[in-house]
Amino acid sequence: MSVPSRPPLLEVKGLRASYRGRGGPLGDGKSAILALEDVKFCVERGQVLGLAGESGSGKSTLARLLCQLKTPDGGDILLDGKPLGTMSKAEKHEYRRRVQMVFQDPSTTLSPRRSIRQTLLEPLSHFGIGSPPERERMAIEALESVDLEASAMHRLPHQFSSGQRQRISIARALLPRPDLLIADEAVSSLDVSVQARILGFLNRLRQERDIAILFISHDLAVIRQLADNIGVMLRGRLVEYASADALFSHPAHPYTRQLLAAVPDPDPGSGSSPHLANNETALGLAAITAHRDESAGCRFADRCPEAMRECHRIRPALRSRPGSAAHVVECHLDPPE
Amino acid sequence: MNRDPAFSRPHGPRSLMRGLFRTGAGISGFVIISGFALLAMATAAGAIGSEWWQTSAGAWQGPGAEHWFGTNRLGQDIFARAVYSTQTAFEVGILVTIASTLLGATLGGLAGWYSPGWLDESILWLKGVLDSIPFYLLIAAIAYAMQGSPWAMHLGMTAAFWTGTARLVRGEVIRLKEREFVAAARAIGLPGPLIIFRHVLPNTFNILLVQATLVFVAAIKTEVILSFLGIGTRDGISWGVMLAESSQEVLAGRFGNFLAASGFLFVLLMGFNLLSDAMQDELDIRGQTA
Amino acid sequence: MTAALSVHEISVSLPGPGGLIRVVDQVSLNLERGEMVGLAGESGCGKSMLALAIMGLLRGDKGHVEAKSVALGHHEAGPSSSHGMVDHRGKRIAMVFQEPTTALDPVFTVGWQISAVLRRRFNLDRAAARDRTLESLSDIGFSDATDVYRAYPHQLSGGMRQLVMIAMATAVRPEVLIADEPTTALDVTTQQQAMAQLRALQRDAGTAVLLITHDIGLIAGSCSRIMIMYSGQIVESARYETLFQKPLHPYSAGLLAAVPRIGSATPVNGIAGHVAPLTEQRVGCRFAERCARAIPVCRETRPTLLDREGRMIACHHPL
Repeated sequence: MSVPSRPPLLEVKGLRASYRGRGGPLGDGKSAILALEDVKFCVERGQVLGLAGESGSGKSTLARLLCQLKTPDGGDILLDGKPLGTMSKAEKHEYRRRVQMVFQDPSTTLSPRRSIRQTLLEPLSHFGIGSPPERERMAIEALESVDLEASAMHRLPHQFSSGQRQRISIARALLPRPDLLIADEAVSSLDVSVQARILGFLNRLRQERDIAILFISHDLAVIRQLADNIGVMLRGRLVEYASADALFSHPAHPYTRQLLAAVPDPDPGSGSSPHLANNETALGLAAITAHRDESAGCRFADRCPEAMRECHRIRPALRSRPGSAAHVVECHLDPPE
Repeated sequence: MNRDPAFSRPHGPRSLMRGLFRTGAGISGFVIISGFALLAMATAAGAIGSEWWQTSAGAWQGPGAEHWFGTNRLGQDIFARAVYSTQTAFEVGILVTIASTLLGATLGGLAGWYSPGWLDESILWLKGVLDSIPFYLLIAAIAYAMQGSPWAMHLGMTAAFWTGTARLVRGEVIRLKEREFVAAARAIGLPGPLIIFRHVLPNTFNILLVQATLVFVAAIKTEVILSFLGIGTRDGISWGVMLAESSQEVLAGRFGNFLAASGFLFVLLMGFNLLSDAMQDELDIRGQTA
Repeated sequence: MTAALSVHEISVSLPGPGGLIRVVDQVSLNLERGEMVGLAGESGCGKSMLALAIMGLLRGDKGHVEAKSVALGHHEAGPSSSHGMVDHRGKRIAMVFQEPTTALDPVFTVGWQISAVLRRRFNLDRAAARDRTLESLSDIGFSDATDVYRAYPHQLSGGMRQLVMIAMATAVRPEVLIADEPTTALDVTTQQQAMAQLRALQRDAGTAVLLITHDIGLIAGSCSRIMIMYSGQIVESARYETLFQKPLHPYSAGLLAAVPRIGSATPVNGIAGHVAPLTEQRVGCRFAERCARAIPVCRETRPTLLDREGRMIACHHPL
């Protein structure tokens, strides 16, 4: 990651978070489960960072931390260089205005008994933006910018389809004029044709406005549609970070390669995956386990076809790929050329 | 995953009313209750039954054209007394329902939101204590403590009935707390109590409505029993008072008071049962698509 | 050879505000032994209703089912037959349901549920059923099969529950398996494993699999044929490669153009408009209002599924 002249819009350093485990034969109800461990990355103004991760990767926890819905156990979140931990109440309030989130589930993301008008006006009045008549106008404009009509204002959420609700949710997030939009699996619950429309909309958005997007998804193909840079998360750690082009052309981490190979491609002609190295196969992953492995070594060691003894014992450090300082990976192995 | 908007049912009071009118039970229940409510309002306005206390007629007259249920020991028209009692019943019902629903929703909402935590624990403890005290003992205690105040009965009932509502609301709030729209409200920094009252509690409307009808019925029935015991309605007339009067009279073969009071009571409570059954069915069905 | 599953003109109607609404409109399909066919469609197209109707699970007020015939091999088992599917379910035909949260019984352990199904199917004693259950759980990918056996559904994550359902259905080794969105809750890496399990069943037991999903990529990897469903009707049906290279129905083309590819950053395109609510029954093609190629006849007559160069297409103005 480069060292810019002024601080990045958002910087995350050494972030750590945990939560209570689940009970039953598969879990320990008492001990804490580490959701995030030593995560660090930056998002620059106007950029799109895609965070790819499967279940258990910690991406949802990360989203909640960034919105102040949860406090981290350790580490820092910095907005324009100022750490969240040291912010005053007023500064935290401003942080919330500048960092907005779009959630995953369109059927529950809007308050069911409140009209769209009430839902849209809420952030405006909470952040004290504009005078009351101006707010009405801003809300209508926001609706129109997501291709909905002003008549939607007086309706209730259940009268809209999922795609429309998700667009309203995006409109709501954009009203306070945020600098960073966090999309936490924002298109994952949508049909593919609806998803395509929203992706198109988000693309248009980043071109027209100077807004940064942190796009969290389990679907790398979807991330590829939007992201400038991509981070890959595995079991609470960021294991690879690169520009989108670099990640897809030269994935350095074995997990990234597995992920890319596993994404189903509609093209029947793309038989073997070009991403895999010689001795790797797309199948042959280790069995699914519900237990959290808190061992000292690399988080991927038990599933990695190339794991060496060292991998099980020592946590790999984040290092750059040869010839590309911006492409970092947490792995003991040398990536294939 | 997605829900076809064609099949999602609308929420809210207006659509609920429309839904109720679909069944015979709903319609009859509604008609009966409205009828009684109108009666109550008419008596409150003085249009009917205002002669309930007059002792003009002769005592123990049998049922006839002038006195439909006859007269009682003091020569008072039984029918007029029964009609006037409707006002008492509705007054008790409405006051207790509103008070206990407000109290139950507020405390239940707070308990659910701050669960787990000390506030939740305290409210649960209070609930447990009140629920453990035998109901009539509680009310009798409050009635004695308030020495003859006409509101003792209302207060006692409210103190006993809020717990049921609170328990239901608490459970619902705990469930709704995890929904995304609540997370969205928290993410922009809205304070807890505001979120509870603006976003969460309005979604408990269905539960509160069903509970309210049950409390109304319970309040009326309780008033009857309290009046029968002599610690209920004092300075007025109610079906409970009439039934208390009738307990001796029935042994002497005079059924006027008994029939009038229990007749009115039966029909009104039947109306409520029909309505709340229809309402529960309607809300359950809607609950499935919610 | 008789098809493993053959369905002729099945329709499902649901009670709605203005009367009965057709949610599945005269759908016919055939599954041969050992083949995996994909049924692709977006929400509201009726694919889940179709699956439930074939399984005979829509009775009474849940849905009104009519069909010319629904046959498992030689056995007629449609709604008009004397016995229906109830005799065959869990033995010759099985289903993986879409909702992992509600499809498993919450009061029994997962292991107990699978064993119960196996005992009924194969007449096994408790010990043998337990062994087979553990085997199927580890085959599907659980390294801690014994722990999973003892767990209750609510103690498992959504993905694990889905795997359990797949394990349950495949352990029965049915002749026909209907899988309704079997991998939505699964990670992409786990999904591969689950699909491998389905393919193994296809290969080893000759099971015919109907894979219902919105994920075209999934169909590409495993299915020989694909059917595209829109608003209650099958609009196109062909061999997968044929359809992918040259989709004839404008909706099929739109759907393919909307799928993001891992191999390129080319922006995807959505389809204009949205699915018309099923309550609005209209004359003519249900896709017409969203279709760039609509001609007058499209709004007047509903196109029927016709054979054209070895594939089936329901369109007045195909590409």
